[in-house]
Amino acid sequence: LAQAEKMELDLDIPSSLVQSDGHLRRSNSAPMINGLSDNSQVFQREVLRSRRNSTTVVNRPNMVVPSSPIRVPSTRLHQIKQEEGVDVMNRETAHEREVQAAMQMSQSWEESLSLSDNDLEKSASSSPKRIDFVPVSPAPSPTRGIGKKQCFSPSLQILVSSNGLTPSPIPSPTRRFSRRSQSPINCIRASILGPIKRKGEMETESQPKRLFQGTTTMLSSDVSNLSDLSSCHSPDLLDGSLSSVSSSTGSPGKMEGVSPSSSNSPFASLQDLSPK
Amino acid sequence: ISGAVQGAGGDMQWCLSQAKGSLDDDVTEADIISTLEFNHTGELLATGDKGGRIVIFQQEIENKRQPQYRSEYNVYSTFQSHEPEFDYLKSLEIEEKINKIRWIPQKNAAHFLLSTNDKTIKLWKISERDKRPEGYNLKEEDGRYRDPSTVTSLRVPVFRPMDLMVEASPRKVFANAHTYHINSVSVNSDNETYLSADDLRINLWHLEITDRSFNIVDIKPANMEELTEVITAAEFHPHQCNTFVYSSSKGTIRMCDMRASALCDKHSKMFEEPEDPSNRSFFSEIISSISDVKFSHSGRYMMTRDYLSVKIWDLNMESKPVETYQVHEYLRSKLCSLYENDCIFDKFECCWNGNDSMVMTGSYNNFFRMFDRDHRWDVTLEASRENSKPFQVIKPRKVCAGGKRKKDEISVDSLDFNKKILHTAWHPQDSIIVVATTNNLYIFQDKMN
Repeated sequence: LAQAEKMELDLDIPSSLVQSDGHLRRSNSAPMINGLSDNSQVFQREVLRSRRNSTTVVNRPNMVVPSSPIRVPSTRLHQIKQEEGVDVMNRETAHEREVQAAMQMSQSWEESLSLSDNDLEKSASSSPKRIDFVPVSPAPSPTRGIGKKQCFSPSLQILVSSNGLTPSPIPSPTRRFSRRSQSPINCIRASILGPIKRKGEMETESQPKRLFQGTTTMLSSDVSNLSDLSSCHSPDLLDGSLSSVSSSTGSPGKMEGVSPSSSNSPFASLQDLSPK
Repeated sequence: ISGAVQGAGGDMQWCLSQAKGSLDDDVTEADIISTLEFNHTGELLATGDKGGRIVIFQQEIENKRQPQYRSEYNVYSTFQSHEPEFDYLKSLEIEEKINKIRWIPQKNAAHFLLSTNDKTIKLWKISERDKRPEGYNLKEEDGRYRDPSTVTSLRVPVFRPMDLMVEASPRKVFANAHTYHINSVSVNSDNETYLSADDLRINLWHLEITDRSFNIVDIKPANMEELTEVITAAEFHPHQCNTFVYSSSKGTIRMCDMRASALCDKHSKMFEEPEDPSNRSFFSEIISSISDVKFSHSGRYMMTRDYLSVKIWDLNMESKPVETYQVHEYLRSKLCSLYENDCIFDKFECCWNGNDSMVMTGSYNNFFRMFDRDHRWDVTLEASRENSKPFQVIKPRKVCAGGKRKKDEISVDSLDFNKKILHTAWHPQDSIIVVATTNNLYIFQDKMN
């Protein structure tokens, strides 16, 4: 009966947090480390785990003891009181300590998980002893961005420059989120295929997820527009092949050489299931 | 299956129209949708995500004259609204996550919207360009300058049609007015002003003026130890430009009249339901925290969402709500576990349909709930790719709270609490709803449209 009532929370709970009787142990203050498989910079937001849901929990290592039964509630009220109550110097010191601890942890993770042959190069560039407090991004003036247009072409489904020329699709290296999706150009027809797993073909552990595959690969059928809706309703669609839709629209050769798009692009076109 | 087929809500048959998003179960954090908003006609649907990006979908309707027309939403514009920033003074990161998007009622061909992260509100202009000048004398078509010596004749440039291009440009940036995290923006019915609310303060802005704003509510006590609640949401009345409400983490809603005084710390009405003593627990205050407040289109009612229920309030009655709908009462006995995994702090939103006859809100396991106010009918539906085929009416779901589980029911313990629907939107005129799961957007249409 106890088993039936136990709630399956389906979370990534490390086994160390589950006691032998199946109940969850209270979590400690260590940030959960994820997102380390790519080569993005060490200083990652996920590592800091400074925000969860829409409230912020700031667990300061010097204030929260892992085995303490008292847990700081994740409410804005408590967080504001915490932030205002502690004087700035202490807060900065605590924050730096937290960041440093997080960096060290992520360093040790990276080093043990790294598949790179070039360990020497890696350890030279990311020494755990350094305490560089590198901000995630420069704090720009609030007036930055005024007047800078961003242009999007609904027909091409990509960002274009305002004079109409297509820019290089490579994102700026200073962007913090190194993984990013394309615009949601494709809709997934519901008939589809529940269990299409596209992960397998694209991911290798050493390769970071690259979402900007370049403009041409993403076009697929989404040049299809309303006039094609009638063909979308055809039973052909039900086996989930978007490529059949596009060929029926006669879209000019854009499907040639298109890799069934990156599994890493949300809103990407579906895997081509048509028999080869 | 709850809801015998009677009345308007019972007649509705929802079909999955579109599903947008990655098929991957691996969620890219930047793509997690954080806000969802139709514009006033429903033609445009804006989504904001954790990566600071805004994607606007445009409705395209086929067979408009036929009774059963289908409409589809396709990407119209996508742009980066906010970037991550760093507050050096406080050593704190400022997330670029878009907390709210609100459309300005349309006055000309361009569309305007307000988008905000924790600290900065931006006014964006979205305009179309479908013509371009061609035939310059001194420039080639690709923009390169021609050698003037090769110019032998003159011509007048003309406008030629081009592929539609949608431009998004930031017209105003309203910054540095909030010490705490902005949770709401709301455009006033006067179309000139808007409010922005953070945890402790509400500011009034003029849409044209960025270098100052008026503070109209300030609940910060002189001694922070005395702080007992924070502001969770705020909204202007849809018709009365002097009236706005704000909700608190203690389950109260205060209505303020800006004509009464410049600083509206003193409310004109306070809506609060006395607590049911039989339900009192350690978590009572936490679950009473209001995560969303929305006026009805008519302006007569407002709806609030707390952790377990949706309440409809008559603006003329402060003592208790006129209607209360249980979203997932079966979670009341699980509050301890939900506190452990932080789910108890999830902020669900709610929305009205176009004629205020129905309301909708999200739940866990990718379930969402609809309540028909007129016919006392409610339904639980699921946003799922596996269980939905196009044109097939989606089946209602039922959660078994305890005891013997019937065949199609799902037990509380099997619910996936990682799959939460926090954001939903209802088309202001048509029977189209949009539901955001963690990494997907689902658009449902009523078959009997």
